[in-house]
Amino acid sequence: MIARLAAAAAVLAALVTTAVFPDISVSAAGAASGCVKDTKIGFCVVPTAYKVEFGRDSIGGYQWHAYSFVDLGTTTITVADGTTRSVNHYRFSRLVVDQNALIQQTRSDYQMRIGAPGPIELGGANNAGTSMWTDVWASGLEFRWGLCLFTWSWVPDDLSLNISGCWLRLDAYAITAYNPQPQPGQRDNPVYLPGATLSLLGGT
Amino acid sequence: MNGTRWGRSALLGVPSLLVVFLLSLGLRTGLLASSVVIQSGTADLATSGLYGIDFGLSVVDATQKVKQADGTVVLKNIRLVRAGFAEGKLNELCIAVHQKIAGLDFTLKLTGGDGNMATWEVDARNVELDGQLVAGTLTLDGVVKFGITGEDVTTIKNPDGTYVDNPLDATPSQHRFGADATFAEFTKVTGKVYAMEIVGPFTLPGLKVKLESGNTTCPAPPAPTGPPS
Repeated sequence: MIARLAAAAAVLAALVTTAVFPDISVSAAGAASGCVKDTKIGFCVVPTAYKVEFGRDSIGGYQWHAYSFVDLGTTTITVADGTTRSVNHYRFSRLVVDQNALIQQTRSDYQMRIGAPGPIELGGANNAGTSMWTDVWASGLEFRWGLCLFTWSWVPDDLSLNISGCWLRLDAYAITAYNPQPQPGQRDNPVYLPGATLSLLGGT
Repeated sequence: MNGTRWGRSALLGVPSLLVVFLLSLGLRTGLLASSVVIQSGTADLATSGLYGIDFGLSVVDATQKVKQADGTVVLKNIRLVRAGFAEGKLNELCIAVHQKIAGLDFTLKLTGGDGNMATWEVDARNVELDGQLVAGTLTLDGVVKFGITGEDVTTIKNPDGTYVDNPLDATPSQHRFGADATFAEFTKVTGKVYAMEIVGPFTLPGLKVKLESGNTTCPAPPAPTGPPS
């Protein structure tokens, strides 16, 4: 009982101490962002590409499906530090991934992972019946299809493909998903990741 | 950032220390009238739902106090994921912090909510969470961006309606990974958080703060049965 009271007293002491002495060493939010926005994409893009993976080689069978998958062509983007990257601009509509979706950025100072076991959706149709889509600016496209026998690294420019694949990988700089008629509280979302895990490794 | 920042980063990792700062000391009647800051080494967070408008996420720097074997304390730079909402709603909330005091294990537990999974009963503004591991179902709506740098993410607004620059305090020169969405909804959320800060007006019905013997945990959060309204 004495130990319990001591614990409660210690906690209360901590409350009072911190309440009385707010820390002023934390820099105030509002520090100038100072990054270079890409004019086409509309925001500051990370200079270090992150891996995007749909499906997994070891699972087998078709694991992702796109009502429309189109390469809008090669383009040069400006990343946040002002340097440029040559990438392809891909657009997916109604993309469903049955198993394993991963976004992973690996740098010397951390590894950030957003993973979901699937099924997930990127894009689709909202409650108003309007199609949503996902744009990806990336390099290093690889995907396996055709009974999981063929690995491809390109799709024809400006040709919309209704396609299913076994796995797909690319090195992305920017992804945007867009719902033209979002409604607060509705669940017709362009990005739906059930059972997702967000983790940061190597940061300590 | 509106309001005072109560040392979120500098206090990360204070050994065995939980700070539940009830700014207005509004614990009476189970309602908090103003702001809450929760800081600790790490805390277990569980909520059935967290929904917000103007959501942002970024990898950020933080400073952790680490106690050495000789008793001295050194500051260590670490990376965390910081998530922020300009306006948020919560459906039930449980935070548990494990303490060892005088050689005995205790759990300080904060719980709140109306017990009804169909209602999103907690309104809060300017919510920020720092953590390294969060699990749950994530939905993002409106304009969704992945790969935006942390310093370019937007959440809260200035009085003149413009977005506050770099609201998550990302280090601008690092250009680290961020995400941004008009709306975000997390359900069945569990995670280890380093800090939780709610700056704006905040009400938490059914608020309870308990000190329990031993290492206890928050129950697994059930899924909400209704959308946020």
